[in-house]
Amino acid sequence: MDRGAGCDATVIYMKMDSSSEQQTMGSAPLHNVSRRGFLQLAGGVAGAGLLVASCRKTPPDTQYIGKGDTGLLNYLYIVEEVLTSFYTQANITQYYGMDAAELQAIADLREHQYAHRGLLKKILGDTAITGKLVVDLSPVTFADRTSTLTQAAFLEDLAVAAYNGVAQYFSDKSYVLLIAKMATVQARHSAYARQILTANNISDNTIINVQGLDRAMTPQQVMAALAPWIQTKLDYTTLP
Amino acid sequence: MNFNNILQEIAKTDPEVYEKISGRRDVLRSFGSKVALAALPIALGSMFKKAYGKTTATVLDTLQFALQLEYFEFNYYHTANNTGSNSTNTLVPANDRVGFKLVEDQERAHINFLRTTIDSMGAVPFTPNNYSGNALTGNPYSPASYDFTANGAYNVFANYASFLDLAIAFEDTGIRAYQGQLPNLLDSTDIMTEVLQLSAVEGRHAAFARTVRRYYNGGTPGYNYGMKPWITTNFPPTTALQPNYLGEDNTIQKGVDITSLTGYNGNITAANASEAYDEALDKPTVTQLIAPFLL
Repeated sequence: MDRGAGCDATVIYMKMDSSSEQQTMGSAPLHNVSRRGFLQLAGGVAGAGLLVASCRKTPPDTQYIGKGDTGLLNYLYIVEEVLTSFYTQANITQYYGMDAAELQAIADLREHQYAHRGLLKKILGDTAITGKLVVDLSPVTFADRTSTLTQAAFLEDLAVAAYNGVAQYFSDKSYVLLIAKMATVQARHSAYARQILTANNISDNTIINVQGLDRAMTPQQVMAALAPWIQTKLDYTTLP
Repeated sequence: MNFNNILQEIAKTDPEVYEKISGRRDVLRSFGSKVALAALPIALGSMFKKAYGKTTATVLDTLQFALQLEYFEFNYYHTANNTGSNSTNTLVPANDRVGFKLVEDQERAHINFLRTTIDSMGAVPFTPNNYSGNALTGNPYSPASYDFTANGAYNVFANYASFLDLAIAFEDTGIRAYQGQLPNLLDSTDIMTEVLQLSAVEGRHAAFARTVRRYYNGGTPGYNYGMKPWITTNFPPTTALQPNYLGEDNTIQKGVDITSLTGYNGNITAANASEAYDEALDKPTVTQLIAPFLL
């Protein structure tokens, strides 16, 4: 696994390559020669300045989540971090009318997210995103039962879609078997939150299609949906 | 034509080529000298078809097994939802009927999805014993195929608590079965993703039946403290269903003991650690678990 952050000259070259490719698409091979020449120049005379200036181009206040399996695991870590923060606060600011049965379950939900997040962090080791991820919980009013359970279902449905959609991208297939075990538990969470909010409403046709399949979303789609919940600036352009 | 070169070239992109060709490495190596050059293309063709066709066969077997489970679950809910002569004397109480009808409909959708997928792969979809309908388009309801009382062991369609307990066990076992089948699908990412999407729906069903059971005490107020939407250690809904939960108390994931990780207050408990992850069951075990309910 690669380091989660830091200089990555390969990425810079690839980026240059692909942008040049667009400019020279369909034109004479001469352009390829000059591009190579440019890169050699960049690596030589202007190299030092260029590479330092474009060290991942990640500003100091932005966290780079890595690429490949590392990026995917950091991505799931972020999803779990949002859920962990959510349920931690939901247990501190208990909604009005939370009875003993719901309190027991909502404490469980918090611990399950700790169990997921903690494992992902352990697996990532020093490739985990560094620094604190600041979660924005302003979309939810924790004192209000409807708000809390609605947002819980929203986040759990999104987590299910995230797990289902990310599995196909792992190079190390053993992660697929692992995250599948977590995905069905997230689905249990969602159905529970939905059920105690509105009886029998364990899913709806925005979540489950006519084939009876839950959603699968790409990491980019999930990160876009999570944007209101995350304050920390993240560089996740490497995600599919 | 250098046969060994061909294999070496394939091995560059697929290191397991020798193993895939039924482990007949030595036979292959002797090919160069013993097989007439003219016969080589034919021999090769059948050998590669056998080796690489195996992937498709494994995926098909897996989908057929999934279809078997979906038939099972659909028939269970369809029977329950149609038990009772009028609106006041139904097995499923009015408050829960919409939910169990939704579950039934989603199981039917799964059957249709799997039938279509299997058909598109050129195979005849699974049908249960004593089923008389069309394998692709027939009504999946097949009362002659199942005895959900397991020869009288469960009073399942006369007692709502018994119905819920079995529904819980069937759904949990279905989830575990899907987890157990995933290794067969890792190289077929489209189908793998669809099966993940499908098993998530089973997760919702399990949590629904469990949440209903949590609050169903046959009229006694309060809730069943130990019955949660998730599986706590290997705790079964009723003792007789213990075999369906063996191994569910696992707390080690990817070599990490989840109870060594920090929760909100101290370490994560063994109960929470087991709840946070569903556990796989292999096909022989699942087959054995559902056998008492098959005719």
